[in-house]
Amino acid sequence: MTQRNEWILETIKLVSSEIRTLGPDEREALSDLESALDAAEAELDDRTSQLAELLGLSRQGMRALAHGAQVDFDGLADAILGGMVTAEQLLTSELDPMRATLARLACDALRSALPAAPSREAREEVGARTADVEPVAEEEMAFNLLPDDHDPELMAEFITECRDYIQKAEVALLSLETNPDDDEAVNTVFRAFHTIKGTAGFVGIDPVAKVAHHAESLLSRIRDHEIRCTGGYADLSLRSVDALKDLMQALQDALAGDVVETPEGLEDLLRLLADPEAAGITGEPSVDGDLAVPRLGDILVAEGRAGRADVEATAAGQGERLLGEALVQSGVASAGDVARALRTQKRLAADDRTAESSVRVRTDRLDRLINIVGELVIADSMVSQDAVVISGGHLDLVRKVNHTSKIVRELQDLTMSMRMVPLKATFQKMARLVRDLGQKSKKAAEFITEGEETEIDRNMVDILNDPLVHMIRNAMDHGIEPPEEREWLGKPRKGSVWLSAYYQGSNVVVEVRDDGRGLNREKIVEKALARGLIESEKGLSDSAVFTLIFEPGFSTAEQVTDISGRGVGMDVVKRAIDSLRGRIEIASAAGEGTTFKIRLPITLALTDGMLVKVGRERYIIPTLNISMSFRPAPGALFTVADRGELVMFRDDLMPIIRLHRLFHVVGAVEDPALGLLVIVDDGRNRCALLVDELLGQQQVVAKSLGGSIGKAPGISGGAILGDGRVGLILDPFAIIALAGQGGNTNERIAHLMPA
Amino acid sequence: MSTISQVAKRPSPGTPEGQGSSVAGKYLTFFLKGEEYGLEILKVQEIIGMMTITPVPRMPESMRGVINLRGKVIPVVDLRLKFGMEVAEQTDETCIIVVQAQGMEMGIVVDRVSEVLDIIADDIEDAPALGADVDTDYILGIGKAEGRVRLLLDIVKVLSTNEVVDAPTVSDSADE
Repeated sequence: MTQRNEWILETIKLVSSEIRTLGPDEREALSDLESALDAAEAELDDRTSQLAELLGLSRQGMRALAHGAQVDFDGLADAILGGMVTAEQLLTSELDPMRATLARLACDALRSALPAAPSREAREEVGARTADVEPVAEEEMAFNLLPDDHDPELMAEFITECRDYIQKAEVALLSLETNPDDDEAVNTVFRAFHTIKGTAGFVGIDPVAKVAHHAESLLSRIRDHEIRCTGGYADLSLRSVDALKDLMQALQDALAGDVVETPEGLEDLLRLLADPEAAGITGEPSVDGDLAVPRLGDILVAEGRAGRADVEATAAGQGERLLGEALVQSGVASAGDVARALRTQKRLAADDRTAESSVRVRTDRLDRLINIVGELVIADSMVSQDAVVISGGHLDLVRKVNHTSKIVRELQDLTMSMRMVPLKATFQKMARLVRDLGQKSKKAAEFITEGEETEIDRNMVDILNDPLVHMIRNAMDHGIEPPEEREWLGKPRKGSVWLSAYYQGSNVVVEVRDDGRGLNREKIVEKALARGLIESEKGLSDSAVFTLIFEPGFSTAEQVTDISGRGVGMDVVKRAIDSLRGRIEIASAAGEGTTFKIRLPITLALTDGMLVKVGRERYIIPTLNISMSFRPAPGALFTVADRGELVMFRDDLMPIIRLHRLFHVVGAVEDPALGLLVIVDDGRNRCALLVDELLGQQQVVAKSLGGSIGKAPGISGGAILGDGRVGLILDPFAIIALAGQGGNTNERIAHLMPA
Repeated sequence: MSTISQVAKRPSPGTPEGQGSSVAGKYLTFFLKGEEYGLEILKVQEIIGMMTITPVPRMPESMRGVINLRGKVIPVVDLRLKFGMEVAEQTDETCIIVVQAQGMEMGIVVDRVSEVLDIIADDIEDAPALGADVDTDYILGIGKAEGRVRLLLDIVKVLSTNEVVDAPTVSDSADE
């Protein structure tokens, strides 16, 4: 951006921030703003642009305000503010049709506000404030969300953009939780509400504009340090964000042609926002002081690196130098300490300034691209494995084929990365959940996230959301003890919930951990016995017992709370993880807490598979389900009358499933000692699948078998193999169930074992 | 894979209106064990030569398996087995008709494809009752054009009804 433009931007920002705080009787300041706008207009390169028009109109409006012309002050001020916001957008981003339309609308709003006739927005503004007069405004409030003449594309853009802002506001509000005096975060929230209000006004979505307007007023009080973003005020802000979210959803439904109703509690919220104190909302002040980002000196003092008096003295005499520099020079603090403190300060002040430039692409297009690239990879491997190429006689051809393959691989990596999104947004939602749950259940818990930059397939993010919600609810409700109990147990009053993610091989591991009571083995066993899930706990390992909680309707909670304990939840978790082709493990120690470990493939588009041969057929077993494969010694095989075959491996006894028998394949290896056993396990059941041999590991694009065949037993889908034929992907769990080994294998084995 | 012919999907303009007209129109005719059958041309996507079919275990016998149709996995049904006839030896003329019904693609294996025929309403008779043993639900009618008799099939019904001959069920083929 040119220096000149930057200067104009500064002016615009100044006008935006000033105009709403000035009243009709502050003529002088208004005149100053007017001349500032005048100067900004003069600096513009292109006098014919929309920007120039906007600035010109705003300047006229400002003049009208400054000279006390017969105008509706608030209406005009709002219109100017809208103009400023649009102008800012025009300056800082590229001109696209959306912005152009917004600019045009802003100009219209300004024009209609100018000649004493209040604009639509202004009229509504007045209606909202005095809550009487114009019945028209009231009627608009009756839920006809979409204006009659709306432009669907513009609306869709509007929704997407608002959602962006809502998310930003939410993040900032949450960071305000830990640091209510972070001015930058307050501003972010303020700006978000402000922009939403402006845009909503232009496109004519009054309820949105109204909520945003009132929320903005609340935030402006916070920004002006009149109140602090704590307690009731923080809740109110978050509720506003929620209301906006609901409205966006309603809007989207309305766009899709559904009949929408006023989101619940909207009126209540508006009333609360209009006068929070009247409803008894306070910020329940916790800590004194209204500092923004902590000052460098304060950090040093708090960390015990320097005395307050010394710092104050240095600060008083720092003159032109920076405080850090002054502190080091005067020997109050070491350079290392100052650097560390500066880093702390920076971290505290940081917000997401790391905006990456991006293009929005429709997901179905992306999916198609990824699919086609998947095909390309297979087609490429068909070429490179062609008899002519591997015969070795055509060096030149081989070189060219290799070159193509390399490019194809790169293209594949790139397309795969295109649908990867960081888990950050999901983790942030959970932070919100912990906060809300903590308040509801009167338990304090610290929420610690790690590895939120870990990326997974965007299609998986939504599915992962529900299980995480359930697990965190469980952790908060059943895991973390009430503060008094924790104190009595000698634990810190505040519980902790960790949510972390990291890569492990070609998997992503997501862990939910709490330092609460841990799972109660006895209680689970008792319940499982009562429900007939197991016959005895003999021979059951801890992890086998814990996985029982994934059974539908299983809950050991003594009482049902409104958070969890109705016995639904963990089976949902298991099902969701299964659908993501992932696995879940539980580790827990009584009194120390519980850890859920979810292992997921990075993407659903590709499956890491082991190609195995059974007779003439080839099958793909997902690598994630395979724990190992081995050729058994004849002595390790047992048959138990009527109970099937078993194999002993490393002191572990497990049933053998003969794939050839299950799938009626002829010509397969019948003697396990001559074939290979592949151990698959789903956390509870371990089985050994008998195959002829392993043909190699391969990434495949999983596809449904299509049509009526979609539910083939034991088969999760198909994939095109290197030779162009279809290979079937096995679903090990379904196979275990199919082979009649369902129920609890360990328990069955326990029965079989000699006493 | 060789594409023998690609059949354009365009409604025939000369479809006569009136009684029985719902079944009149263009049909792709093919042979199964010497008998000629007809299949609404609008349901046909393409005809491909026979290719390697990957069998899917524990499916009814007539479900021969799945094939790779230019990167798409589609199921293939053997119409002979579906109608309870014995399996035919594969010849050069054996081919797979890819039909598109209710948004799904599916292949059907036939002995030989014959021709595309315009059958007018006058040449179509209602499906006769062939006794309790023969389910005539999937027969649209009987075409008698050019002095030959062709069974006109409602392919969607054919593919969605169960086997004429019961296929092995999951329970009796379980392990051990």
